[in-house]
Amino acid sequence: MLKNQLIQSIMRGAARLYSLNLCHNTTIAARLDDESFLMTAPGADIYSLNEKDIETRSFDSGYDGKTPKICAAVFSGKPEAGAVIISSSPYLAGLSKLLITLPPILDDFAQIIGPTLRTAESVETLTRALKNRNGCMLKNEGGIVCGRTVEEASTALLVAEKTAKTYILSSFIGSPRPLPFWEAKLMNFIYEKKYSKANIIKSEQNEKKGD
Amino acid sequence: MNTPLTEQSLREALVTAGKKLLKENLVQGTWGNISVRLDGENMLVTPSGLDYLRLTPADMVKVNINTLEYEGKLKPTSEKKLHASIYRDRTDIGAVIHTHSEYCSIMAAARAELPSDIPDIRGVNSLIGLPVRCAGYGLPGTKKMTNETLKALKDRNGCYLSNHGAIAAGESLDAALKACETLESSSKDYVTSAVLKRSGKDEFSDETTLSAYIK
Repeated sequence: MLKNQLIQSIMRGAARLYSLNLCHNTTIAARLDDESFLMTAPGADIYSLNEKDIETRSFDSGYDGKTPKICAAVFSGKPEAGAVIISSSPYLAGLSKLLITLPPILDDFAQIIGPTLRTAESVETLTRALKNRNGCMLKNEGGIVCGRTVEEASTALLVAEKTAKTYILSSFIGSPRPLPFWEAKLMNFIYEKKYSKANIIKSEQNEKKGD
Repeated sequence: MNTPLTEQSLREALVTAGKKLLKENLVQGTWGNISVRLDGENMLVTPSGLDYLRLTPADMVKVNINTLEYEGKLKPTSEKKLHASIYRDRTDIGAVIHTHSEYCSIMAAARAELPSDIPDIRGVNSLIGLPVRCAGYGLPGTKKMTNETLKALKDRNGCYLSNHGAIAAGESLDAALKACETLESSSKDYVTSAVLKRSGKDEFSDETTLSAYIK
């Protein structure tokens, strides 16, 4: 995808996160090529994002801050990831302090994220936490999600935050009852193999239409 | 005397209902699905994977409730079996809505029921029936899930689906929409009152919830 198209997809992702009320200290990044990626500048407000707020970063340059380092770690560790979103959305940020693994309590979570959402203790262990998953938490930071496109990554963030909220609130009326682990893995496998190809074609068509 | 609804007017009503669900945050993107009974043999359902904002009346898919054969190029929702089973089992039902709405999902994740002794300020008992049950767990699309849902829907116009979401139904699309909205708002009342009770606070917020959970 050309750089300008990628910038537009980040802008659309920002608008979508704004409409979903998921703009809490959020960074959106997209892989440009084998050597670089685009990302919203650290501290840029997603709700008033301007094209000038989107920077190009090289994988092998030094990183001035945590968010570029996180994006580079995800893109390097997950070659299939085309986009990364880092967010301090309330419930993911809250759970990330507890160093827990979020179990598969909703089937859309199992399909889109994977069987669990682990918490990495540091940027160095992010890749391990993301293995066979489209998301994880980073201790005291919040959620980190990825997808092949910005649209997929924003859907992953929506589902991860919803599941974190569901996990916490369901504990007030009883206790969250996870799906069997292997069924969650199976749902994720079926979703990725059966539906994702169609979704990415649709997503690319939407990008071209400028939707 | 009610005028029988035409196929075209039902298709239009499904489009309007989809937009309403989206506006009221009961569905997001392409999630959830809606159907109406068309006649003794057929239902109209929303198609698979299309955004509610883009749907047109022509996109609605006509599906035979006995054979699940469908007309047209668009694929019907992957939950068509569940919708068809409800119409076969319950001749009194004319419309079905399936959502993954926020507070119904919380009830579904705890596999909890909405009990009979809630302060029924929203009229859940008359619209849906109390207690609102939670259907036993089954993988989406399986016979087990369908059977568990039919059991939970007995003498009810709605239920939660374990780890999945909720079903709301009614004799018309308007009635199903009302049941859907009422189930979500009553589930929210139930969950938030549990949070307030434990936190000792007067007002529900993310902060109140998180501090009560983490402490």
